Amino acid sequence: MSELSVLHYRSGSSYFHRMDARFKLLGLALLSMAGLQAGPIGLGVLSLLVLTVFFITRLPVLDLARELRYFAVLLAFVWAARALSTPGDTALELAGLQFSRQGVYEGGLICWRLLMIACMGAGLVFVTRSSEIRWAVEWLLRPVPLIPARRISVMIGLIIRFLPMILDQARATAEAQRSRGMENRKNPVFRLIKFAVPLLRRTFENADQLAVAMDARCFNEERTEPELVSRPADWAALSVVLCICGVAIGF
Amino acid sequence: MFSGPGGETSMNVIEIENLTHRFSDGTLGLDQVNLTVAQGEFVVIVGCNGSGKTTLLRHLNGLMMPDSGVVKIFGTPVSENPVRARQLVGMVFQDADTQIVGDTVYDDVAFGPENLHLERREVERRVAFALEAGGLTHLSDQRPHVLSGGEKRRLAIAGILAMESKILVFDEPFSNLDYPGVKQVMEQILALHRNGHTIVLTTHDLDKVIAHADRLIIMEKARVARDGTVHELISELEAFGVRAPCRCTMEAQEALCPN
Repeated sequence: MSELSVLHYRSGSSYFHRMDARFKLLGLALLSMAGLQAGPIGLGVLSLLVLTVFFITRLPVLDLARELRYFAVLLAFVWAARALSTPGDTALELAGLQFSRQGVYEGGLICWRLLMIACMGAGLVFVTRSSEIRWAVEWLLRPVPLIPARRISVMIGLIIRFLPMILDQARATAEAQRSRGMENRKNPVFRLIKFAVPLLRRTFENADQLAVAMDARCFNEERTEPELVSRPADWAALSVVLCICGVAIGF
Repeated sequence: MFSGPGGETSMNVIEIENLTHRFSDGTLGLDQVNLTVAQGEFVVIVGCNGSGKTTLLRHLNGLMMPDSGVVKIFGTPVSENPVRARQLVGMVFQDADTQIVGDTVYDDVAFGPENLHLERREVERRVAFALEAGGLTHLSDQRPHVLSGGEKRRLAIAGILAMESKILVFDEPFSNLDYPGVKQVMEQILALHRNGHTIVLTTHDLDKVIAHADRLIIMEKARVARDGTVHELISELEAFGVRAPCRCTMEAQEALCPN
């Protein structure tokens, strides 16, 4: 099951694979913040960057689209809510509901921003080992007072580790239920409950087993650190990111 | 003490005295278990589901702590230093998937040595050795989840080899494996035994290991019901709900060990 998920690290030798994880994480944070402020031109530039990263790293875009289909449902809700709640000229009237022209535009922009952030996050996970992301988080949080950087980095590492496992489990649960005719049940609440209960139970069981296995291998917070070494290419990439952020915010 | 093939004796690496464990729901997991395992021994533990095999194994590296009694590894009680026990007693779990924590095969093997806070060079040396021993070097950049069942089990073994564990504990190592997977894992376990590791293994399928076991322990209702050589206990297995090995396996065993 897991081999079908694109939200895993995959080893490679691309420029983005070789980049220092701290620069990748910092770049993601900066681009995400800039993306939240960006207009259509800025988002267009960001989209170009994302597509370039996907092309260079050979990230399977169709697989990613499949993984993000539930996220797309959420985006559709966000878009509809925005289109319905923003006052303005009526663009479309459907069953008594009025979608404003300004709302449709605003909603589309918000969805584009969120989609870009999700794609950039997926790209980061695809080219960076979770252990390196953890250390990068810790390194970046170290100067912040009163923040338990190491504990936060461990938690992030576990979340990254668990996310694909939960997705895999969700897929397996859905397939098992489809094979027993779940699609014949039309009540969405019934279907949701029957899906969520075994998924949560199995996820907690897996979490428990993983925790025991990690304990058996002496897991603790004081671990050997990976060697994170910045190269001139990383600084060059950061400069490019800063330029793109400037364009995204400026336009 | 254990007498090796040449008549030499070895020290006890595992000593269990009056070990009792009760689960939170009141069920007795282990009841007054007394046991010693000598260095280099190959011990097979059998018994029905719920007889206490896994509970016993989890006491060897401090994943479970006794309600009463003591478990000593190389003379030191596990409760005094569970981290040391976990380093000395490497455990391969029944479900290899839940034991995998790394993004790649290399990362997963490195997980244990990194937890021991070793120097990066030492981590790299140990990982290279463990991957080589497990025949996984060519898969070091591969994602663990796409490996075959046998390869995943070998990865789990490599993960504990990298911690330089002296005692290797296998909980149902052949479950859910096809024949090539069983062969791969069995060959690796035997190679480790030949290299001087102490092996403790639980299984429902004695056929696969009977020819190699120095000692057989039968568990029933949270107690050690029988403890002896394979030949002493073979006729009693069915009485404890354990399927006896098939005749051809026994004949092969007879040919290997006529006495």
